[in-house]
Amino acid sequence: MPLVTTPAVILHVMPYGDTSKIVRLLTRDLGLASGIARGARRAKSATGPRLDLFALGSATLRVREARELSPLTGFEIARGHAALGHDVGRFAAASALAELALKCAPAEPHAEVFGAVAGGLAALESAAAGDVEVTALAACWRVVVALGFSPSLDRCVTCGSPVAGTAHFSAAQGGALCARHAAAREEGGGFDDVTRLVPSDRATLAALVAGLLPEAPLDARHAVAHRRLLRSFIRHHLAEDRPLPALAFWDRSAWTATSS
Amino acid sequence: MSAIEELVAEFAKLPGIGRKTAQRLTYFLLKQPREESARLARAVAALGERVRTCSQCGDLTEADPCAICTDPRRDAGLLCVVEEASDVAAIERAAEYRGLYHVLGGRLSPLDGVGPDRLNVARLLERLANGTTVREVIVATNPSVEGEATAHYLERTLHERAPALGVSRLARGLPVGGELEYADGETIAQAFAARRRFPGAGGAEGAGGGAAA
Repeated sequence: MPLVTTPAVILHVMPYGDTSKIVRLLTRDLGLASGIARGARRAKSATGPRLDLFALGSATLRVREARELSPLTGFEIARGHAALGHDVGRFAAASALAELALKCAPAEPHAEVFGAVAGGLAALESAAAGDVEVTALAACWRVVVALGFSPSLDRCVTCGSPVAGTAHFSAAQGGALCARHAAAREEGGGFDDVTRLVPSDRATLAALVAGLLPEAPLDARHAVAHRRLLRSFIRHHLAEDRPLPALAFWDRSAWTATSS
Repeated sequence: MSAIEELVAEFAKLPGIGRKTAQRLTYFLLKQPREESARLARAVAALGERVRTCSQCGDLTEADPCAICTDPRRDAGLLCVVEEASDVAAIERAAEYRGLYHVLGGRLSPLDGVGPDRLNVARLLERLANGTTVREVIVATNPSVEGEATAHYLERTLHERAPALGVSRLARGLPVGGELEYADGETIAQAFAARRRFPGAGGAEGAGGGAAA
């Protein structure tokens, strides 16, 4: 049973028995991993208080072949994210990011996804109050792109022709539609996954997909629209019918202040 | 399904009990006098028959309202909000707090699908509506990210509904009997932020308000 020490982000923590915790981790070297930290719920456990949601650290796991649950023998915090709990908006967005990694990331190691999740949580914690929403959207899109699902914004996903000006974005088809194919979709019915994007909306989405903060701030209405579009895209391409309660929680309410 | 298999399956549903432990418990019971097993069965049955949640505070009780809610010696001006009924028992063991309680039945946990609507928040707001005797709500959620988020959600909600109400948090920092050397940075930071002056000592206030003990 080799001991493996790897950078890791804590994505989920649940109590196990009277004294232990089961922790779901996104690790750089092992991919998604589950660890059992025995005694971590005891009052005087040195490891227990460190095993909190979203913490980035160095996890030591006693890896056992063909076992899904490895004993977690240590976790040294590099960066705790306790401040994410001081603001329900940041907490909701961080939970959505963690869920994206938990439900959609491959089980194998994926350095780019690990970097996107760890970087996204750090950015969320340090974002200015008015930037929480766009920071969260950019962080989630960065993970989606790292997973290989980059939406097409400049070319029609159906025919490949360039798309300019106002365009329609189909979450199900994975990107922009030219006028001809948007009209065809509308005539055929089933337009629920399609969002109309004026050029400024498309520029905002392009920045977010690139993992950048858009130049213009998002007002509350546009923040809602971008959350819906992201959630719909994830649902169609990554979720495979699995429920995504944290994404729904984030999407459900204006937890964070936006530029009005 | 045989009686043995049925009991093993029931034990295995309990938190922290795997199939092997469930089998061990079952065979242990089989070796006990029949009256021992009957006593256990009666105790389990009594749980379902007699224990309910208090309609006032949400704690587990056999009488509704519970003994704490109806105790005239308790300070009805203080309301301590906790995540689980087991937290009430823990605070009562300390014998330091003499106010009332409100049990949320969990904490915000979007990853587990727990939002404010799944917590006992509506009843809390009812208790704090017009005519309440409560002057301070003490939020005693766990010092985890989820507990913190729940506390901040409550603080914001209570401030919107009852701006005059005092809302406080339990202090956090180094555990009694713990060692500084083994504390993580976040715990040390919180302990510094919530440091207290010695009673009667002079000097500037602490960074975290520096309340005198």
